[in-house]
Amino acid sequence: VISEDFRFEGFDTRDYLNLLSLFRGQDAPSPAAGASFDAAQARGTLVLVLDADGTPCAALITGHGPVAPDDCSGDDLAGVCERLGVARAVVLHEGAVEELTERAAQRLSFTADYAAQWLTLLAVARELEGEGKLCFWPPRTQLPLPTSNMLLRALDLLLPEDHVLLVALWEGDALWTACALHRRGGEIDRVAGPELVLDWTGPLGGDYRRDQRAMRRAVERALGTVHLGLFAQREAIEGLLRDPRPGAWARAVALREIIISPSPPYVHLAVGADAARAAGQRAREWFGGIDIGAYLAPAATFARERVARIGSITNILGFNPLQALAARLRRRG
Amino acid sequence: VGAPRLTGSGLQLGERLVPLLSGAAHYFRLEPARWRNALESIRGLGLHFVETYVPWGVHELGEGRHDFGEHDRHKNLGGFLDLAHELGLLVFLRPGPNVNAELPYFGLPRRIVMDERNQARSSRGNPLPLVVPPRMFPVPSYASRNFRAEVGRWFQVVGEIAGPRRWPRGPVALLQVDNEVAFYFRDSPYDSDYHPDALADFARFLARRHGSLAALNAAYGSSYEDFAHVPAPSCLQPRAPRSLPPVLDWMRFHEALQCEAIADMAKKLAGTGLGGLPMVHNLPMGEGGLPSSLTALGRAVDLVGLDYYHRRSASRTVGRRTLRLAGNSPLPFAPELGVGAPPWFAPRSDLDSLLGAMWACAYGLRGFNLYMAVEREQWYGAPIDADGEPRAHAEHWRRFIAALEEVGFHALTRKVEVALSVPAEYAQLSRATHTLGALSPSLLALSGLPASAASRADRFGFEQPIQLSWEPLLERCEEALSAAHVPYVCVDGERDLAACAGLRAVIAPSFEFADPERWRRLAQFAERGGTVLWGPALPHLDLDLQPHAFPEIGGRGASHVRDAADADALVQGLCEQLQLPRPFPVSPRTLRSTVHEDARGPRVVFVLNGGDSAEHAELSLPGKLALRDAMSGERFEGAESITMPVPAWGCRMLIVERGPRDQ
Repeated sequence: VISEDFRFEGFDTRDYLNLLSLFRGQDAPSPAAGASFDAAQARGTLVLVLDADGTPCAALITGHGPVAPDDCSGDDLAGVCERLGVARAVVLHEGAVEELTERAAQRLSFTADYAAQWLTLLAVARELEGEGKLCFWPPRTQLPLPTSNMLLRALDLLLPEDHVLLVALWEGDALWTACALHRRGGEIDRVAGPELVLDWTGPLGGDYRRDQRAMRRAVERALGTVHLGLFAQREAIEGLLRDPRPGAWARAVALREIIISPSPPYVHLAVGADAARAAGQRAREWFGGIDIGAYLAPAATFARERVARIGSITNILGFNPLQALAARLRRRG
Repeated sequence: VGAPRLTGSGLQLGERLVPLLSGAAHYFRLEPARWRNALESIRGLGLHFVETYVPWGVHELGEGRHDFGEHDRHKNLGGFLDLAHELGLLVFLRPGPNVNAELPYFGLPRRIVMDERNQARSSRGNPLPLVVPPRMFPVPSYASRNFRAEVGRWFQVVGEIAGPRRWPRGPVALLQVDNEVAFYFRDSPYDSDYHPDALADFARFLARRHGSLAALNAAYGSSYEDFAHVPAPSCLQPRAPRSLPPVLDWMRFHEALQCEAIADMAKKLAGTGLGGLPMVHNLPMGEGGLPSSLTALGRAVDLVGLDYYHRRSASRTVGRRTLRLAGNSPLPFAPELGVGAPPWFAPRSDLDSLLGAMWACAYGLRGFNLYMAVEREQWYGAPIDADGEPRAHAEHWRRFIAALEEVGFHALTRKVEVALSVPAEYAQLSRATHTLGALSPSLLALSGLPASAASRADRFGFEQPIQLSWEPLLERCEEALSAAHVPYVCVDGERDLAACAGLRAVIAPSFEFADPERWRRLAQFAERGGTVLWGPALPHLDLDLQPHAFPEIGGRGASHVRDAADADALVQGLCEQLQLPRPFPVSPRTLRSTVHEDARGPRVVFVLNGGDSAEHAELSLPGKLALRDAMSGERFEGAESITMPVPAWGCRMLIVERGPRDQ
């Protein structure tokens, strides 16, 4: 997915940390899903190593240090985590990491791209999980691993060859952060930050609703056709990334709190689906709890089929990556 | 004019002593039209050196064919060096072969890493992929003779360009050979290297170490008929009788292999037109879990430094790492003092970078290379942008460097009378018992855990699991010394204590087995009047776990250290016994202070807050003093003490403006 001559450039510290902050969520404890105890205070991950006969022989808690392996035996993992006050646990049989690296080394292609190489590693890890040499608590959601072809097809949809994905966020009248991703030869070859984007654009007026046009044109001259552009005030996008309410995105687009331009078909569909979800919920409130969605089920099915036919990312990957991201951000925020 | 020579405070160039204050700029990544701007800005920060890698993979067009600006003007190394010379900058040149620099294949040519003869091998004969963007690649073998020969040819090529530009005819005054030696981060105990050349080296190593097959067989409980028949251990068999001697030998071999490879590369580099220049090497973060100690590597090159890329919340770690550097290096130097970071590192703010530098200097760092001083792709946060223009936070760096120059910080000393001995034999045991494979001890250390955190908890017949016990024991003593405001350093067990001027006491962990050579050095130190606190046990086994008579040395105290209170009592006793000075103590207890002085007395006092909340510091003074904050310009005066706010994770550098010496 990233090219060998990939360039990340044009960020100062503030720009880059601002960009990262969008995905970081707020610092809050992440209680283990399904934990039977009050996990709000739980911190760190227990890493427990079992020897050949299944006896704990080494143990540590991330962020803290080693713990006596004897303290980790006896109970089920949930009980051990509760007793040690940790949020989650990874249990490995001694030699599992070595096995993982050996198998991965045999299967890795050094000519494959980075994402494909990672998929190989993850596939081996899954294999070891299946063999019981590696396990997690709470149990991990077993999302199917996409193949590298699936990833490429998803990328084709999100960002076609020689196109640009541009995000620019303002705080007041100043650019807060920006990021332009360019794809070439099937791979992301450039991630350009605000310094470069501003170099290309020249001085901005300070109103993102107007500035976005000049910025888009400048990026097109410098990099390539913009496939998807997202422009907004920082607060608006931060709120949306953590707002689970149906219709939030549709409302923001309608009020031009965010501008999506150009807007490829999948974005129209996503925003439309969001609006429909909001309408369904609102209708349920109006109709005294009658789930109008149920009556619209045939229509929804039809819509889903249409979405599938044009090749939704969800269909390609086997899960909805945006939903997964939003859920994670909400959990952390 | 003699060749450049490293001293305890900088680089001696004829009559001129130049502090090792440097900034990194990658000519091959900048527009040549911006080189002048960038170099002038580096000079404007107050730096004396510009540092650059010379990446083999960037210059090589094909085997034996190179471009140094003939085809691509960005690659005009000679032009860049000449410009630096014209602008009065010295050059710290790092021609690899490993440069990392966020380049594909860590800057090596693709043909080199893909050549199976050059690849490190796992115990099953597989190549060892390194999980870094933009491509995982098979790491080279430090033992491969083919690889080393290729490196020699590359150095010859670099020498042809840089040799004629060595000081005094040109700016090149300092070299670094290779980068962050750690088996390309595949440094786990049983990860590598099982390359045929490494296995042959291992057999030679065993012959050297044991002297005879009989001695080896006695240590191993084996009956080998040839050193070449001894298998390289691929894991620890904890229940096998005499399981430890073979794996401990394997750990020692790792160190020997790395040191020998670096020494070989240094020799090859010296054999080009660059001979006679001092050579540096750098260890990455997490060095506590790496195969090679600072002292061992220090025998391969002229100077070994540490790299720093910390966030401010890890400021105590910065202090601890620097105390180890200061205890083992004649000139504590950071070949990479991170300013900014690559995008795939833990994010760091501008303040993180600056505070990291200040904390390191507070604990004794005397020179550094700002990495990166000038922006480039795959990086953010450099104080100079890619056009060569200073960014806003460059001013903080300029002010800090100006303050270091003002007080001649490079030539100041920190009086230290106590050392903690870091025993290599126990560190090797911790490595040998590691259970997480490629998630190596150095990775654990990098994440803030003890390097031994994933070691097996078996006792192996000892009173306690030594591999898990020695680090906490030292940590408790460190905390107690810090809380008591007693200056100390950490010294490698193999370090010659006679070389540590002013040292009066050493705290040395000792368990049932120990290195007789370390014990001998401790005994000699005691014979010269030093105090040695050892324990909890008097060793009775040597490195092969064979019986050995270890004489008792002087006092004993570490045996009592079970918790912080014990460590406090031990340190209190030491302070009273030796009347150890505690200069400029600061309260509350969570704060720290360090003092740097010259022959006339204190010149700089650092006040440090390693906690996550702001504090009001009360700094006790030895007499009437006036202090100036080097960064803010605030002035403080007092006869007995002064108070000042110190932000969370903060550091104040206070320059003594008027002290006892002026009265």
